[in-house]
Amino acid sequence: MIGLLLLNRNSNKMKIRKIKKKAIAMPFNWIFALVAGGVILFLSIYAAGKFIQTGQQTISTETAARFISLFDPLETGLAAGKAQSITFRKKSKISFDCIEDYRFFGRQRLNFTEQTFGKKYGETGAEISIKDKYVFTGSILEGKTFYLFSKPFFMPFKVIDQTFVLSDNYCFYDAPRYIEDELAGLKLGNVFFPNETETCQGINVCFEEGDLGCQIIVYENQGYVSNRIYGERVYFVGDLIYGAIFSHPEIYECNVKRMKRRFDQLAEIYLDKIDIVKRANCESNVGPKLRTVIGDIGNSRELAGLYNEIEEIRLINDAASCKLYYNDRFGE
Amino acid sequence: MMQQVVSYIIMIGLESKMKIKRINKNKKMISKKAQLRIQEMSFMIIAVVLFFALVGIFVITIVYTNITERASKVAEEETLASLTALSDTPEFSCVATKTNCVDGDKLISLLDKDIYQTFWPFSSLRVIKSSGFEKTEIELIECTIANYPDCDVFNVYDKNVRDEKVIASFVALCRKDFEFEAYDKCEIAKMIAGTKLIVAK
Repeated sequence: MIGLLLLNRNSNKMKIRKIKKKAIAMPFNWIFALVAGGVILFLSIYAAGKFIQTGQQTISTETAARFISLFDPLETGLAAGKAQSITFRKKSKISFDCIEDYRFFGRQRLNFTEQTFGKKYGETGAEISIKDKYVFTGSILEGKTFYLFSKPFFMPFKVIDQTFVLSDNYCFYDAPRYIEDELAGLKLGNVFFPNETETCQGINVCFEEGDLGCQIIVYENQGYVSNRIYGERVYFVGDLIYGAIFSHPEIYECNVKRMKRRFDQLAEIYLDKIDIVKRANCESNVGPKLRTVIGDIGNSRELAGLYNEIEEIRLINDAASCKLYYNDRFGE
Repeated sequence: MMQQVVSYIIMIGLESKMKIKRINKNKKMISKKAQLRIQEMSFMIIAVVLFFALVGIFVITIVYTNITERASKVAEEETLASLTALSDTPEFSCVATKTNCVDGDKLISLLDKDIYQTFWPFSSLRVIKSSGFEKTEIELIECTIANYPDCDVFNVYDKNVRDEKVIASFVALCRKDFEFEAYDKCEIAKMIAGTKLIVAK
């Protein structure tokens, strides 16, 4: 009996101890405050991160939009070429692509990003579309300074202004005199014409096959450029030689097709114009020949194949007393 | 003696039970207090979250307004830069080697070419001849192939956007005319391009 009573007493004591032990445990409100505080802190850091990310995207998008506005002053008008350069404070990366099937004239897209902390690139901005320009360039350009220049393209009337964006250095070996004169005249800071004894750091462009480690070989007489970096061959006619040298082959081919569509529309406009100027006793015989060259092309080789027809159009127009256009530099 | 011991133990037992009851009562009170604190804290947390959310919305509104303003400004700048270069593009440029000159004979055939709507970065594009400068919108005679060149305005295209800002640039407008022989007849004209403004909704 006594034993039972003592046992009961002990069990009561244990219960009291147990209750007392619970009372001195960490209060629930502390745990709650810690968890809630943690969640708020996490959400704040996440929101701040997102805010910075959005800010970077906004800046990159705005920079890309402002960058393409540099192309407008490069429209040549009557000039043979124009050039300028832009230097960013930080190393930047500009990506280009080209879509030939967008609406009728196709489009190009670019996006921009720049280095933030260390060598890491920040958030890439939204893609900016370019529809009324033909940018012959690499697919990804990296650097602080970007060189831009433009050259008109005639076929035989002016069709487009080719815009070039470069970031790499180019070393031209054995370049024909006219190319050296034209590019040197633009005072580009990244195109050099070394002789074989001079050293030049950059992409080697050769005009005849040699042992200079040429990445780009121009076969001027055959009318094509062999790009060893991408292992592709692209064809050119006239001033498209610069596009063939400085472009990524895919961007070049896409722009050539876009350019042909622009040519087709211009040809339609000139055909309409022939009928309109007839009212002013101005007869042009270009029409029938011009109609034969309208139509899509599959690649740059097909464009080069139209050279003879274009040359004939040029000769007909030159011989006419009332010219349909004057500004031809086709084949120069 | 035995009885005394038993009664003592019983008393201790009773005392312990009362203590337990008291502690349980205290526990219930503590629990109620804790619940009250949790409620207070929850309200506080909700208030803090709401405060930051409101601050966030306010900041986002300001930033977003700035973004739309900047986007509109960039679009306007692009329109202005494109417009000044437009007269020298192959679709508009004169036959003769003149800058800032629009060929009226090419312009008239551009009027029914809708594909250019997606090509140039303008929401609308028109060229008003000098004969239309003093006229109201209703008085202007729209150019067509049939009435060209006896007309006032070439409406190249109009996307009919709501928030539009227009920018104008003066150009020379030339066309072939005949008087004893064919010659280029030029006059002043106004090229007007519209930009769609980006408005915060």
